[in-house]
Amino acid sequence: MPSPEEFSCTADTGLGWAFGCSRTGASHVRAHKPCEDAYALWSGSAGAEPCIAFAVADGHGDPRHDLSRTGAALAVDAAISELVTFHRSYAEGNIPRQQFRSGFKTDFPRLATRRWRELVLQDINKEEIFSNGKTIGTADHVFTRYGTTLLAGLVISDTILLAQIGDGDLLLVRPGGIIEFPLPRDPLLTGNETRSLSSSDAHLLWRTATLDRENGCVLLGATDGISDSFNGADSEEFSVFVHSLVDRINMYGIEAVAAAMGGWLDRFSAIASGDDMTLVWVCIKSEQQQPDLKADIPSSAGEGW
Amino acid sequence: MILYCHRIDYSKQEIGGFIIEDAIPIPEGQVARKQLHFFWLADCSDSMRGKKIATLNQAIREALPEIQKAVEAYPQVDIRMRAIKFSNDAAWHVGPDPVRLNDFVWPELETSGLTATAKAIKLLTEELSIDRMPRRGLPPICILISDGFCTDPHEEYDAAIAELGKIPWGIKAVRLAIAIGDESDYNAPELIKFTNQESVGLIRAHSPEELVAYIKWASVSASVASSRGRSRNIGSGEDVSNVALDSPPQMITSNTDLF
Repeated sequence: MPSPEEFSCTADTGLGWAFGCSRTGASHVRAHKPCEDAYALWSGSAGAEPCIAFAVADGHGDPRHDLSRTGAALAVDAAISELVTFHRSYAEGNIPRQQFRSGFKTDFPRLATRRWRELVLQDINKEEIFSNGKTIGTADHVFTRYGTTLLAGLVISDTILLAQIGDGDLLLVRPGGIIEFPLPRDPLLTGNETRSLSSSDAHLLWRTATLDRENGCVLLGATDGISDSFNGADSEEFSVFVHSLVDRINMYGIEAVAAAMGGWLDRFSAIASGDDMTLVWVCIKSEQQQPDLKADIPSSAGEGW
Repeated sequence: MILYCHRIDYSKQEIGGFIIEDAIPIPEGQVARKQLHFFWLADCSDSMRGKKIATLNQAIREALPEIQKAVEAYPQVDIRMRAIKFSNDAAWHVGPDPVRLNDFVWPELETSGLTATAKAIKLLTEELSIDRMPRRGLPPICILISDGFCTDPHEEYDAAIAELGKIPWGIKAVRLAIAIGDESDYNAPELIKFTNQESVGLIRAHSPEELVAYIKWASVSASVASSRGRSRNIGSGEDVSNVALDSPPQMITSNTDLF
């Protein structure tokens, strides 16, 4: 799992490139607290079909969620593990695409939630050993302590699968600059409140979407610290930021933008939201584009995606 | 292979006081701090005349720099302040447009008429509606200061409190009430219905000295607590504010200068 202070990249699978960056928020730096976000990227193939999987999580941070930093790390681990298993089971079984898509909606939220809970219980058992048998509370109390959001995505040859529980933003920018928010907004969330993997009915609180890869896109997954720095994901200023980021990728190349991202996020956090900030972006090529490793060196500027 | 071919074009940008020398210009988009909406609800009925209103005016003016100083540790927070006054009716004393804390000036409040507390709470509730508040702001702060009994019908008062307690920002707000004067002069059960901070309860100011101290304590403590703004699971608690204040400090006051 990448350290929150670094950026990392996946190998090119022919689908495109994925990068992630996570930074400790300015308010956490001032309070000498660690980053409570986590992210993970994975690329590989199953049944000769390549895929890119990513996950981003944001630990709640409130005192009642005192192990939420670990909860976030376990959440991205659970998501990647379930996405890859899910992809493998369908790819190797040669199952029709429609069934694959509907299976994601019905199964992934339940499987990812269950996997996260298993990891939490394993972790709390370790914690219990280190805390010399101190009472750790009921199972519900344990999950609350690890409370986190989670957003995850899987990109394969013709399909993009997305899932989210809690706040944060998942969006795509199609060629031509159209921004799509494929997941419905949760109207009940105000202020610092969010849905959580730690809820007893968490498997029912997910939002999912299945999309066509079409002519490719830039797919962004971010914790709420970023959109909050622009007055929310609905704001005009956030759209300006997203378009501008895609312009930078097209103009300067993916790797150069990845190298600059940490500094940008630090500045946004310092002068705006103060939150931890994590951004994963996947530059997905058009279905028609053939993989050409020479042409796909990510630092080649001006190529688009 | 040409790597970083655009990085020779260094540029300097000034953003929020930072001088940035970057290989790539920082993406555009106007960044914004998190808004914290602060509402004063001040009783200016006839019974507040004299020492009470003079002390209230002075105390709020003195509290402003103290709030500013206290939230310096939270530069990501942008406090926007407004004030509702109530006597025969409720009206904006400062507002309805919120004013940045740095620019907020407390105009002298004059007294007259009755105590339309219910109408003031209704006006507050309208402003706390989802469509008038930022969706991802910090918990608002609402401080009610009164010395008397609400002269609106009881049903109207209870309906106003119920409505405030139903809307998301009304629930999440830090709601405090400061009662002024002798306990027989004001309706404590009525004022306590406005509050949602169990450990604080109704703040009782018997003297000018206490009123000044409590207005400062309430406004500063609530601002700092709200500014901390940590996320939490929507299902992890009751429908209560996700900000909890400690009890106010005990005041030792001289008996010679009571309201």
